[in-house]
Amino acid sequence: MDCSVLVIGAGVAGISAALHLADQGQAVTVVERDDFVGGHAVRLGCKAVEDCQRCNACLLPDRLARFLAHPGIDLLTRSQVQALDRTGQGFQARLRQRPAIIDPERCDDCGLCLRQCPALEEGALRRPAWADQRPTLAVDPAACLYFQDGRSSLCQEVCPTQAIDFGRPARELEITAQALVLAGGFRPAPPDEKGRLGYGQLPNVVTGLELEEMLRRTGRAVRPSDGQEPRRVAFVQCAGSRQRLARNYCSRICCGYGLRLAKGLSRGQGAQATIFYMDLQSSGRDPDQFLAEARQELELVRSMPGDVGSGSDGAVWVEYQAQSGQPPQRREFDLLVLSQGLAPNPDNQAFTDWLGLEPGPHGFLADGPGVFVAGSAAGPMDVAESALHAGHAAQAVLEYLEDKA
Amino acid sequence: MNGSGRTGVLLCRGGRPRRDDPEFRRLRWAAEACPEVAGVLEVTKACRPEDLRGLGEKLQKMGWSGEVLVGACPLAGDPGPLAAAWREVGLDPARCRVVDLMQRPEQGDQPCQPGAGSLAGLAQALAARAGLGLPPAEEMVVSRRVLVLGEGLSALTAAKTLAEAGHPLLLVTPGPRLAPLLPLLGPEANAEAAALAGDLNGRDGVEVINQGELLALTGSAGRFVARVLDRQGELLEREVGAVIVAGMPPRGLNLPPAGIQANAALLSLDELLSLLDSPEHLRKRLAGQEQPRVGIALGLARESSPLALRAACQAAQRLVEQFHGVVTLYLNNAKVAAPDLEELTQETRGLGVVFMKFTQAGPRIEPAGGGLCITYPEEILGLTVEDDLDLLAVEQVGGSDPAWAELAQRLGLEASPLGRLTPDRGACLPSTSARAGVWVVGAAAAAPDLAPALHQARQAALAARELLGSGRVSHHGAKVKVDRKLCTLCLTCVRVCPRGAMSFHGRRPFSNPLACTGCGTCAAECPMDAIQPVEGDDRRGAAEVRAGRSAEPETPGEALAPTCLVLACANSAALSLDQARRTGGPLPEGVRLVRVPCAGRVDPQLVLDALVQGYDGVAILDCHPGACHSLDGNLWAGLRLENLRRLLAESGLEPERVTLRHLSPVAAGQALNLLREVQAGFAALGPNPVRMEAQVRAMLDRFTLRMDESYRLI
Repeated sequence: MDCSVLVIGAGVAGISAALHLADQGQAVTVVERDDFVGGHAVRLGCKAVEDCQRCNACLLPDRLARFLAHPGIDLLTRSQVQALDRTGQGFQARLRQRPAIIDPERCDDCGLCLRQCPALEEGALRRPAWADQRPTLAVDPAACLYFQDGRSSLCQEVCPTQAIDFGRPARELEITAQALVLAGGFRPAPPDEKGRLGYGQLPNVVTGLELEEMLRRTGRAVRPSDGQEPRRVAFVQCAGSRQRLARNYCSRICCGYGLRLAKGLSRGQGAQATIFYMDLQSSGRDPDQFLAEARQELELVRSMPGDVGSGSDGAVWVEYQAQSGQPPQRREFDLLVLSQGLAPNPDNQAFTDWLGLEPGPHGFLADGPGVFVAGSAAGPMDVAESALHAGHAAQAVLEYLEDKA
Repeated sequence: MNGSGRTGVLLCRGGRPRRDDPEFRRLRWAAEACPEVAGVLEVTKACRPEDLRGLGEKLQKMGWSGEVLVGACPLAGDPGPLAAAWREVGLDPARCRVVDLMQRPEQGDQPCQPGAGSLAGLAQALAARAGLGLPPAEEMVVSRRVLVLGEGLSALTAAKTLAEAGHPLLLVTPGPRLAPLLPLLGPEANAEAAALAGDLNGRDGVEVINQGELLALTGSAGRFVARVLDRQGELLEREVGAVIVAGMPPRGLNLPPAGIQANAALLSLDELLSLLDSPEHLRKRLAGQEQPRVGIALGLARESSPLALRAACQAAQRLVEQFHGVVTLYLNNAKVAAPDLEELTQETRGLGVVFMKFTQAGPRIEPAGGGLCITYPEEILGLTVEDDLDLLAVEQVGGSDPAWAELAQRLGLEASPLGRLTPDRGACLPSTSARAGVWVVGAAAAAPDLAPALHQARQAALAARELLGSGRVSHHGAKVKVDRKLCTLCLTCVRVCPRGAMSFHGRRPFSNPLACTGCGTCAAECPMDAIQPVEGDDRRGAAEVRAGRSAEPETPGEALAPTCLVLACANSAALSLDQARRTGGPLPEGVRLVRVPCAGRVDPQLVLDALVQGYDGVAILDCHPGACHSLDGNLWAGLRLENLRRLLAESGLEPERVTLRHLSPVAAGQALNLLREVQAGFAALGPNPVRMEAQVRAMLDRFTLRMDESYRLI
């Protein structure tokens, strides 16, 4: 298979870069590891209550719609790059495409499989956050019982259109391209490496991304332990960022989303929101107003919790020192949200090795000859910045191809 | 009905429940884009009678009165089975023509190949293959010249990018030259700017007007006319296709309004950075102090930025290393949101520079001796600290002054109090301005740091390239049509158009197809109803609304006719509803959903019509304030709703029968609940008292329609 530009990753940056390039007449192939496109951005929920909070989550839908229908873009989902080589003319990529266990051509979206799946809770059958893609269901081999011990193939038996087939083989593909766009995005940083913030131990300690997904699905935030709407919510900023030893950088987006989520909860659900922080970063196009509103509506505490534990009635207690020299305080919250940061994609190393790239800052990626990084693969950035950065990368690709021609 | 005689395309999936191959996707996409095509429908198998049931009504509802083209049919060579099936369900096979649009053309163009270019080209090739006799897509000749306003690195980056792509440029700088020294950016960025300026100055096709003043920007995207006054007072007039504004808003010291008076020990961070480059001057300023006490204050009144923090750290390091200074950084929040800043601040602290964080109240700065005294409550220690300083450098922040506001106005934009020139909309990129064809980048688009500003600049340059292409841009004609017989030249449309797409040339209205987003605000606001969107005029809208009600059950036991009309913005609410329908089940019963291109398109007449038709209530679903894709369509919808409600109240109908609710495109989880809520609200009001009257009217309407039909036959 030949194309002029190979875009790796179909998140907001990959999608935007592909659109820019295809609009300019380039033949673009986009490779996405997941079953669905949209990356992290498509999982974000609307945080508006009366007014829009300018979180930019709604930048994605029209891009996605255009992307999925664009005649100049070929999309390969479920595909992962196995090897990348520079050739005389450009690049050669070897891909492995997981089989489509649910055949998009046959699946009629009847939903019978969902009703039968014994491992639905564990996530064996997934729906995309953006439903306008085919199929609207995918089997996650990591959670599916068939792939663990062949225990269940109920969905295959029940499917009326024989769309589900566990036996389909994977596919190996070779693609040559003139230029590469690396848009593999980020990984959420581990929010609680030292195990002090109760993540994974206390049910009512969640990450910001989990809260976003909850909002997207149901429109309300609830406590995972009992489904009650929380009255007292605390956010811990810089969870996993600004750490001297692990990630010695600011993740840039967490103040923006954390404060917006907190404002949304306080305005929309009447919750009392507290923010534990070190420094508040600016966000949006009017940072002064953004932070002034936050100061008015939220309780801002410049201190990081030292310890977290299980309180009465499912609550989470947080111990922190409001001022140096004073004894630590302990307060209870119904829900504790860890504003987790952005970590580099673990695949970055492979790309650096294959392509002989100079290492980028903090394990993120940097451009190389014919290789252009778009979006948060290059470093932490938010949705709007990723879209803009993708435009910058697409322009660089065009210049590279024009120079070559 | 609109589009009479237009062709409909029926795509056959060849027996498959879904077809997801790119070719089929492209075919559908191109067919939808074809202006000669009234609509596209997919069926599983076009020659299977059970798949064709209800097709007749569907065709009628979509306004297909011409022939129906069956595309992607594997049996294209043999129309026999198809004709039989059509006859079986009572459709006229003579109206159906079979063409396999999937078939590759023998030679020549390969429109379905990836990279074959624009949508317009693809649609044209498709039409040619189907023998639709489509008039070629219209072309608009545009100017490829781009006006770049500004002199700094963002402006030069955008200019260089465009110049390399072969665009002629008009560079207008407020100052006397390109790339003036801006110490805040540091030596590397300044050197880069100087290099770019050297490259652009005197380059072919690049016209630089130093100390130029933009007097006016008339016209619209692709065809602006810029009038610029140069240094000698001479007026230049240039056609430009696009504009990139990369100017820097006026900057002032970031001090509280009741800050301190000018003082010898007080200077701007920029001045400090310049002084560091001329050590003699700085030593003099420090009056030969052995260990000068220097403060750098960020975020005193307004929020600081990563750009300022980087410059402050670099200045602090040089003060310590070269001048043995005792340096303190005063800040409310360390704006470390850049990849390098966490490490840079640690390194700066490591050199002995003290970082002091004051509370929101901020510090007090007073003259003391030859210097200044800064007093502040320290947030972490909980103490009030007093520091005596020989020198205090304060960062500068952007704002707005009358000249900047005036420039914004001339560009057709609006300046915020912070000097930003773009509207703050959640669904738009930060560089998207309120005028199509004009992009704002850098500080005027609130870029927090240099790198994001340069990304904006390059992206805007690419967007301008995409807009102007080779100078001839193909499109499908204006998205709105103006009836000149009805137009009274009131210019309401020019005033309300959110993207500056509407203009008049003499008495001739011109809706710029490159700028118009088809939101339809102008059509709804036009007091003479002289403007009609090409896709979906008033009559079509009314027909769609009526179509719901005319499904009045004839036999008891059938589903009731919908009682709740939902007009959903196609950019937001309709998307969430689509998503919700796919994953959360069907719409609640009794809801009729009609998409509108933007809430700004909703004509009060349509809402009244719906109430007359007998709907118990009408809900308009728009974007949240501040999220509108057409910038302000939802504001117009809100204003109209207020008036409409007053009207309803005056006429004795409950104003609550019309409601406006916000639903974002990424809130599928809320969508169905919102509909149920709205429906319950209408149900609480009881049945619409107009309904009885409506039934009589519906009868009359049916009669008139029949009369119309018979006239057409005559």
